[in-house]
Amino acid sequence: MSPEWILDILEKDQILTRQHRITLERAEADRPFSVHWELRVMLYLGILLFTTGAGLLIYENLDRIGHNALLSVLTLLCAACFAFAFRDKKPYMPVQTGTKTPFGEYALLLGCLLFLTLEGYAQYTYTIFGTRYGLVTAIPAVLFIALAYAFDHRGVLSLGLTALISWVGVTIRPLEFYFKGNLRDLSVLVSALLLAVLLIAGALYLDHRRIKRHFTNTTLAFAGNLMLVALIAGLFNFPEYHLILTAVLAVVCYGFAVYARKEQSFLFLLMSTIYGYIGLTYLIFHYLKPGTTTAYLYWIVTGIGLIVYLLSYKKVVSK
Amino acid sequence: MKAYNETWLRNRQIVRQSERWQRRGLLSAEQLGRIRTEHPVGFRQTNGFVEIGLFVFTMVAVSGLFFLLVSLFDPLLNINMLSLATGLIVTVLLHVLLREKHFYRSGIDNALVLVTTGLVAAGLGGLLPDGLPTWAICLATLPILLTSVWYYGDLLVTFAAFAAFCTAVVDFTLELPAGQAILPFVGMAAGGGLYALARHYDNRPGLLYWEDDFTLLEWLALALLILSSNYFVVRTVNFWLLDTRSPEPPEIALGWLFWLLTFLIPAGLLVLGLRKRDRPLLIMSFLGLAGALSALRYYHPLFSLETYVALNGFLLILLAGFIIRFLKTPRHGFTDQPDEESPDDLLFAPETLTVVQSAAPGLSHNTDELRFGEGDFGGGGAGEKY
Repeated sequence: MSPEWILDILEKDQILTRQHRITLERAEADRPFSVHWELRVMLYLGILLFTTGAGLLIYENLDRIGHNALLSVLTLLCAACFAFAFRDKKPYMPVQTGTKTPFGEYALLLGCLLFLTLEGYAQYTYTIFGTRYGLVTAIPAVLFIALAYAFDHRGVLSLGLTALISWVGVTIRPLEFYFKGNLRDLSVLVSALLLAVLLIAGALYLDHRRIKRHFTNTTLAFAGNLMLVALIAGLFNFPEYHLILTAVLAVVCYGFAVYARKEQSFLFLLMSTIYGYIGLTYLIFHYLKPGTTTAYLYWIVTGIGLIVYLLSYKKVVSK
Repeated sequence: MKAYNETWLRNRQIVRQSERWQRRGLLSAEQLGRIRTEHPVGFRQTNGFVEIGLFVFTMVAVSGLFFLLVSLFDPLLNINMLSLATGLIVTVLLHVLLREKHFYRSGIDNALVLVTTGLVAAGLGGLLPDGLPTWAICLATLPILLTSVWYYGDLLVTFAAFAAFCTAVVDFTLELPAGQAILPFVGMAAGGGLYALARHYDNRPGLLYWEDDFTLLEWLALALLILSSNYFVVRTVNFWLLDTRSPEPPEIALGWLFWLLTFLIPAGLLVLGLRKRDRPLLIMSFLGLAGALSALRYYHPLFSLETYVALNGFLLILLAGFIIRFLKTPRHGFTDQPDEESPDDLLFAPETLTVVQSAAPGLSHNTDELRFGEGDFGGGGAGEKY
């Protein structure tokens, strides 16, 4: 992008004086090239590769390395990461604080991922939790969410929320676009819904109390996704509860649409629209069984209807 | 005559650049206000998430329309005619919308441009005589795709045009005598040539309408260049093309040359990228070096895969940490200060996604299903020589 021609125009419009133009040209020529994001991605990749590799190493060589030695090394590494993060921590405040140096937050993330490896390894080797598998995910869930609030770290918050959702029996891997886990099982489904309600209530309460408001949307996105997916899965799997599930789905979609309008957070609008549409379409095809021509007409009409609906959301202020 | 109002596009660029200057304190708010009034932008602004939704539902509606027409007129018209007819209807619709609603890459027009181009290309492609080779079909569709790119400047269509061009080149090369042997060189030439072309034109004010398309072409051409020169890719593709397959990919002719190119090309691109301070070059060359190291480990395994992954992760952390400290104060025209052009949240979402994605199996109940991730990537130490 060369701003040369823009400067020409601005000078011609007499918005810029000759002198001012030269200043801008010089500023543009001297502007250093920012590799900030590339470096952050490198750090992230490094952390992910390292923890993945370490996890696989342990898994592959379980019978060949001394367990205690391995456990000690992992514990040391993990502790070192937390210590480093702690040294870098700014005092807790309800607002967004950030860290003193760019490395603190990454050390914390690495520490958390290593903690997971450590925990899995300890469970595998010494079965410290016995058969109480719930604990395996409950501990990191509580720990990570607490750490996220203490250290002001949204990535760790996402990890904690993922662990919490695993705890009720649903595994999320966002890049696979489906939820593993047992949503065919009514008790899992209900616990997922209850957890989602709890999380939404908690997020809104903390937001209201102005505590870490930049966490609100992360928590709501996780909880909302869980809620909507559980509801859709319920529609597919439990025809006997269609009425109540449909009612809840309608309320949730409406709620998110209102929230999106209020907060100008369009992710929630998109979520509620798409999941709501999937639910509605499933119900219509399930009960009315339209013929092919009617089905095509349905696609056209609903598609256009939703386009108009989405376009009715105006951005209140553009930045 | 083009689909979008070019004056508005220019104004949009002027206002955006001025906003950046104003944020850096180089322009006063009052000057910016004047620039905004004197260079109005009439496009309808939407939001990224809304755009995704609009794209999806436009696709839903248009698919419904197409299948409805097919089911109604099927006995009368053949599918090619129907594609062309639907393409025509969609084009008219698109132009009415653009004129009345002033969309610009709002999801709706992206979807309609894509559908129109696809339908016209498919319809005309169906009119071609049977039995043509693949390269001829691709070459025949290329003018349609390029016309669409010229008129709308759509990125997805640009991607499709690039894919069609590559397919045509590869298929044509393979029909030549000794085609298989020269294929990697043809790939490198095509990648290098397209990159040079895109780089030459990507910054011209007169070609502002296609600025993004040229940038996309740069990324794609670099990817083609790096892939065609990678020993692992060359050897594997060569193996796919063999008529009689041995269980293992055989050694390729000129193996030493390809090993040399595997490392030299990304290294050369990296030097160029550092000199020119060019993002696509820097990122792609880095990935290319990672690919080169992975290829080296694949054929000459010094470490087990998991050691290699863990070691690379460790080295990457060190390297990134070192560069971050090194660039605390800007040096050699590079800085670690975030640009105002890359907002925080833009990167936050993918970062979160990758972390959750990779940690999720470790957080699931069934401890017996340890998943193996993609093993064939890894970062290497990119030499920071100036």
